[in-house]
Amino acid sequence: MAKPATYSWLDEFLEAMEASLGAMDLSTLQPTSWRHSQPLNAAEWLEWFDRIVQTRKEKNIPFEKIAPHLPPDLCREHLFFTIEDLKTAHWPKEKRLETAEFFHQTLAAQMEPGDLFGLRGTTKPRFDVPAIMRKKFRQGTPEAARALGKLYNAAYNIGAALYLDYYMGNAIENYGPYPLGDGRILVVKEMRHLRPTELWPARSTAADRLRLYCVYEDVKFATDLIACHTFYQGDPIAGLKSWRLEKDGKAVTDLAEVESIMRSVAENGRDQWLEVTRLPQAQLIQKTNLIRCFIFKPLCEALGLDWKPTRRLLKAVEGKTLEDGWKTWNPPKTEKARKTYWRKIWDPRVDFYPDSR
Amino acid sequence: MKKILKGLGTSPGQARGKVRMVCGAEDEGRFLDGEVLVTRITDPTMVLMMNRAAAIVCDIGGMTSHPSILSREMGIPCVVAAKTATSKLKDGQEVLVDGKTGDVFLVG
Repeated sequence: MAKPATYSWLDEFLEAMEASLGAMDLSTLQPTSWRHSQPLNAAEWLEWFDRIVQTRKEKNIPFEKIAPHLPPDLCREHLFFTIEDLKTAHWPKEKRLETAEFFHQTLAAQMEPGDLFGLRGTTKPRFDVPAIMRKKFRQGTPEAARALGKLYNAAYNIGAALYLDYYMGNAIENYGPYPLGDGRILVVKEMRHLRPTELWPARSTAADRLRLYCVYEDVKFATDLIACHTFYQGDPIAGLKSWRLEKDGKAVTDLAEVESIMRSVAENGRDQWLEVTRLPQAQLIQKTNLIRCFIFKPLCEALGLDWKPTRRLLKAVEGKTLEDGWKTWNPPKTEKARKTYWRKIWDPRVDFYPDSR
Repeated sequence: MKKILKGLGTSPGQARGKVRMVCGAEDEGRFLDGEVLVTRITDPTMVLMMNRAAAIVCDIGGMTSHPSILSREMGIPCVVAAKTATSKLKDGQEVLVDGKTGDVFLVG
């Protein structure tokens, strides 16, 4: 890997972080937030994760080979989650930069150049768009657009119930917009890992993976750094010109089947969420550990590593509360000073930590 | 029409319907198609009600909060950060929700 001299890509990342997190109301995250759970074992998590970074380096595996195991949104989100851990655990600058660079290179290896972090509103992995467009699409109608919107709603909710609000990028990711000409764009909505039996008891959810291709006309589509943050200009109901839905790799062509899948996913999502809310706090904290490790399962397996949380990782949170984690952060009260605080936290080049003044 | 609430409009469009206060899955049986879902903040227990709602109004939230994103995907109006929606609105009241301006009007 050619080591960049200045890590100048971090400047764009910081801009994208401010744009994305600045628009969020973190009080809406349920049942907790990463700023409550992650500080409880930040140091142990980093040790766990560093196995991935070092194994790739030792085996000299190209980033292009590991990129399929860590999709774009997971690279972006876990870059910032991990940077917050790096600062919480006071890791030295050299290690902070090495870890951040791992995510950056894995991301860059799979994306179209120009907007790695969604600052300009796109999330565009290198897709063979002409090959996608040669597939069979159904004609778009408002009825179809509404049915597909409800299906997406169901998948989004089960994603939140399986992975919690802040790790749900493992379930929901949106790609695009890919210009098709004549005012049309392609948007790809990925809904995956909907039956993770390694995390939760098995459910009868009708699909493990749904992939929805939408062609819109006279509609602008954008995401930010977080690819489930979707924005539209224009009318995505009237503007849906054609669509294709794949359920576990097989095309679904009938709206009645869309409705049936939606109902199964929605009902299982609702019941899954009730299970989450019934967890005692200590179990919820351990579950966050398990979920975070599970997200890296494909990558660990590709590198020949065990993906499960280590005893050390689990033990580190014993006897701690989510409130303990939240107390890690010490943002100033004024908006301007708070913005500066977070920007310094997110910048791995800067020796500034949650407890810094 | 009387403006009763002002929040942040996060999914454009206007919709009119009767208010249904929702706390969780226990409200699913009484939620009717085309009602306006009013809650502090949506969660996955409300997914089937969201799918049947004419509009969503929440006390808290931002442009990228759960109800905002999903209302945009479903093409229904959404107003968040309305602060007092769950205390000012009552079941059965007819309201007009403007998801562009963030206004909620009492009809009649």
